[in-house]
Amino acid sequence: MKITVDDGLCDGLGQCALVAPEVFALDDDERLVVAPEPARELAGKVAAAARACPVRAISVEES
Amino acid sequence: MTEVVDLAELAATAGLEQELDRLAKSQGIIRTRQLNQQETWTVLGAALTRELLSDPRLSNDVHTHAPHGALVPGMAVMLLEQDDPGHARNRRLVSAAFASRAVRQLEPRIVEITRQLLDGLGERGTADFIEEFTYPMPLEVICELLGVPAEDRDPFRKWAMDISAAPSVEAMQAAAVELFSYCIGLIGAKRERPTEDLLSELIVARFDDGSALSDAELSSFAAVLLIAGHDTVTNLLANALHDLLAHPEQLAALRRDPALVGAAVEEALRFRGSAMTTVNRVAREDIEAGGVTIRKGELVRFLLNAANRDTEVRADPHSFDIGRATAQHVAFGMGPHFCLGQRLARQEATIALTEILQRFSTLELAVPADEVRWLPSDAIRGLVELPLRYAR
Repeated sequence: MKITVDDGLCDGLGQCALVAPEVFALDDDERLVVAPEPARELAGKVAAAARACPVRAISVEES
Repeated sequence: MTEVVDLAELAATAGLEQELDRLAKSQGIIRTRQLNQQETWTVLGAALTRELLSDPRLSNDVHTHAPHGALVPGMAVMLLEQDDPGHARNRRLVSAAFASRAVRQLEPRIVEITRQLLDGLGERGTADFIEEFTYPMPLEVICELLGVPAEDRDPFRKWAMDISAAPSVEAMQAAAVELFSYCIGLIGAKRERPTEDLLSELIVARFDDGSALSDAELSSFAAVLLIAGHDTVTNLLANALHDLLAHPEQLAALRRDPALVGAAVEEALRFRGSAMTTVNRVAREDIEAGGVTIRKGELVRFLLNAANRDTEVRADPHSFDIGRATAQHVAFGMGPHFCLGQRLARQEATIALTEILQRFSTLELAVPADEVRWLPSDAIRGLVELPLRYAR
């Protein structure tokens, strides 16, 4: 699965990290950090995290 | 039969939080009656709140899926009553204005507004801090941000009160119509003579496909930003002051270490946030949750102040303690509708508490604690007035 974050849209609100903390986290400067290769079984959580983003800055491609 | 709770009636008492706690202990989700007499499911528990706020089977678009439940029929509120992808598309137009960098840039002006209002309190010794500070401060900030002329502001307080703590559904609808028609005029004036502010920016903003917001959409945007942008902060600031004064040892701790102000703001949000209840959602299909079946077409709202007093958020949830570790509260909601203005609200609250405590070495309730009056609102948790005694 390929996760892309639009940095111009992301404001570090952290809603994705609440839904899928295994994959998304905010660093000390509230910048989003995405785990490089999330396990396939996290696909459902990643999709939910993308939906939780207020500006839909996250897109996910199934590989 | 399940008990149907009248939240507004309960909110008029100081015992709201205790009563919600009693209810939450037996059920994570209850039935409440809203202003138009419609019954809604109301979520109290923290786990259920997180689960359902992320559930795509719940829609914010009540006008399409449950028109009978809409408090103001036919007027979909921008962002609040929209679902994605349309919601995210509209939110992107304003997110930069409320992003961390933009809000940091507002800091000096918010400090200036705060100091001017505190100067205005002078040496009188007692004042209603809502009337003289917590109402005008965030109103001034949001009006400058949006570009709302100072001379227009007289009716705003009544509109905000009638929308959030309405005596009747007719009063609420009348206020919404007046506010909306004011905003139509405002947008028309800015279209003719653009100024440097968010509303003028929104008028010329274009989506990726080149289209723009209609006048009705722009007016709805203006209305929601104007009301949500000050009413919630007015009540948050007043609640925070009230709760700090009601817990003198916490106030003393904050005075000893002003760096605790951020923690104090978070505890104020958790303990008695002002945006008590979210707007309604509607079930797009039957949903099993918290031991009940929410039927397709039924309304659901979230009582965030109850979730924030769940023992899962804080082991001792009814104590007000700025030094205690707390799990993530949900005072700003969660998920796609996570509060747009949360950074601004936090900054205004931080500045207000810092400046007030610096200015006044004496600050106390000017009425007995059990005589403060609470708004009879099922949406906003707040005080009718906050009479304080103060001295430099």
